[in-house]
Amino acid sequence: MSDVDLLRHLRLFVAVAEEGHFGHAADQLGMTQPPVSQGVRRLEDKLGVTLLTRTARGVGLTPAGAELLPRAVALLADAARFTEDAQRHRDAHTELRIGVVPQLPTWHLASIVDGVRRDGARAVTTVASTVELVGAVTSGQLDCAVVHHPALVHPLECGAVVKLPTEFLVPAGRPVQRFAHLRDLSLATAPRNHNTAAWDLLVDSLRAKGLDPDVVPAPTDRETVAAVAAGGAFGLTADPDLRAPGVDRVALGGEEFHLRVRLAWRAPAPDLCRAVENALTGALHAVR
Amino acid sequence: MPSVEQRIRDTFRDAGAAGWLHAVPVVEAPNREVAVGADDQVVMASVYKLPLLVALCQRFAKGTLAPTATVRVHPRSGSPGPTGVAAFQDPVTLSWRDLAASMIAVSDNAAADVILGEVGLAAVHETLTDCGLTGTKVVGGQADVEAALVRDTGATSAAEAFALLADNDQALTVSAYDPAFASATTARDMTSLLSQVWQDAVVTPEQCAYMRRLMALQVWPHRVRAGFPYAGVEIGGKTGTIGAIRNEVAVVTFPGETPVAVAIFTYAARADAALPAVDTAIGECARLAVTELRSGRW
Repeated sequence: MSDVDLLRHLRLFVAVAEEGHFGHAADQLGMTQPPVSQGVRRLEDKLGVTLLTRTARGVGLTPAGAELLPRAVALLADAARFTEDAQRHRDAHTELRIGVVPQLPTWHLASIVDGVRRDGARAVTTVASTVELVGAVTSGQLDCAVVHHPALVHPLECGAVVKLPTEFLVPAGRPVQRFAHLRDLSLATAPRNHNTAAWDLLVDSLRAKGLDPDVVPAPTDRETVAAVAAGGAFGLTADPDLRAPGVDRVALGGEEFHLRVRLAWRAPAPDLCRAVENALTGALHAVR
Repeated sequence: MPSVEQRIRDTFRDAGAAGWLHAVPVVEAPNREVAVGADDQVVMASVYKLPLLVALCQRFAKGTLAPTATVRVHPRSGSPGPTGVAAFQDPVTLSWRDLAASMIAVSDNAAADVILGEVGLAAVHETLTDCGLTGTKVVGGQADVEAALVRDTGATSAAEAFALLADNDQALTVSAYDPAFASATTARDMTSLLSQVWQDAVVTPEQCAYMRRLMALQVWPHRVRAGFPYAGVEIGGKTGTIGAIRNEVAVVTFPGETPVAVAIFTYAARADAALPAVDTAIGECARLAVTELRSGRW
C-alpha cells in the first residue's frame, strides 16, 4: 500500500469510526457501502491490526483503533493543510492577502487595492490592530500589512516609513488655535495594546506640548468621531475626507502628529509588495 | 499565573521593545536558569567594555602592564562622550587602574578607546576564547562604532548621526544595530562571563575582586538597579546603550544569598534617545528573573 493509498484508506476508517456505521459513513463519503467496508478491511490487513469491532449493534473501536484514530485524524488534517498551502503558493501570483490598520484612510486602502489590481492580481483585505497584523503576517495568514510605526515588527521586514498628514478633530464650535485650548478634553485614540510604542509616542508628543490628557479608547476613526461629537474629547485623523456633524477639523502642531505607517512582510518579500508600497506612497502624493 | 518567561516577554512588549534575557545563580553547577532568547545574537554596545576589562586585568595579572603605571589621555583625540575623561577639555594623566574605573563606573568612551589601544583586539579575542564565550565577538571600540554610524547614515559627524538615529520618521537599518556587523554576544555568554568573574575564575582572585569593585561603582540607577530598591541588595553591573539599543549585564546579591547573574539586551521600536519605559522594563525583567532564582526563596 503506497502512502497516498494510506491517506485514502485512513479517510474511510475515520468516517466509519465517527459515524459508527458503515452505511452512514458511505453516505457521508458519497460512496456505496461495499468499497468502504472492503477498504477498511484492506487497511487492517496491511497494518496487521484490527481497528474496528463489527457487531450486530454497530461498529466500535478496538483499543488499537481507539489509540490510532486521533493520529489518523491529525494526518488527514495535516494533508488538508498541505493541500491548502500548496494552493496558496499557486495563487500567490494572483492573490495578495493584505492587512491594514483601521486608521489608514479609506482612500489609501482603495488606492492599494486598485494598485494590486492594476498589477494583475486581487487584494483580499483584513483590517486589524498593528499587534494582530504583525502576528498574522508572521504566521503566514497574511502576505503583508500596513502597520503603525514605531512598532515591534520582529521578525518581519519593513519598507520605508510613510507619513500621512493628520488633523485634530475637536468638538464643533470650539475655538482651537493652540494646544492649550484642548486642555480640558480627553484624548480619543486606539487602545494602547493595539501598539504600545506608537501609543506611547503620541502621548509623549502631547505631553511635550503641555497636554496630559486622560485617554478614552477609540479603536477606529468611527469611535473617535463619536467621542469628539459627544463633546468631551479630541482625536486625530489621517482621513482627509472625514467630516461629521458636531466635529470640527483643526490643523495643529507639526509633523510629529502625522500618522506613520509602513509595509511589513515576511522575507522573502512577496512580488506584489512593490505594487502596494508604490500605491501607498503614490496615494499620499495624490491626496496632497 | 503565567510563567516567569511569559511575564518577562509581556513586560518587554509593553515597553515597546524586543528583549533577550538570561539569568543564572552564581554557583559551581547551576541547575536552574531563566532564559528568553538567551542564545540569540544581540548587539553589545558598551557591554563590550566588560570583556575588555577582563583582558586588561589579565595583563595586570601577568605583570606585563602595571596597574599603577600612568597614561596621558587627550580627551579630544578619542571618542566624544558625556562622561569621564571623554567629557573633559584638557589632557589628564592617570593610572591604568583608575582609567579602567572610569571606563566601568561611568562608561567613559575615551578611557575605553585608550585601553583598547593598549590591550588590542587580539587580546580581547583571546580572553573570549579563554572564557569559552563562543557566541561573542568584539569588532572594535566606540571610535569604530561612530565611524560606522557616520558612514551608514551619510551624516557628517557623530552628533548628526545620533540625531538621525533618534528620528521616529525613519526606521534606519544601521550596522550598529545588526549583530552580524557590530560587537555582539548572547545573553547566556554574558552571564557565563559574570559568573566566572564572581567565582574568581577568569584571572587571579585579586583581579576578580578589583573587577567586582568597579562594577559595583557603576553609577546608573535606572535599569537593573531600579528593579531592586531594597536595602542591602548589592548590584555590580555594566550598561550598554546606542540609539534604540539598551542593555545591562549585572550580578544581583541579596544579603546572605547566592548571587544571581542576569544579562538583558533590548532593542526598542521607538528611536527616541530617552525611553524611560524601556529602562524601567529592564529593571522589572531583572527582578522577575532574579526572584525566580533567589536561594533565599527556597
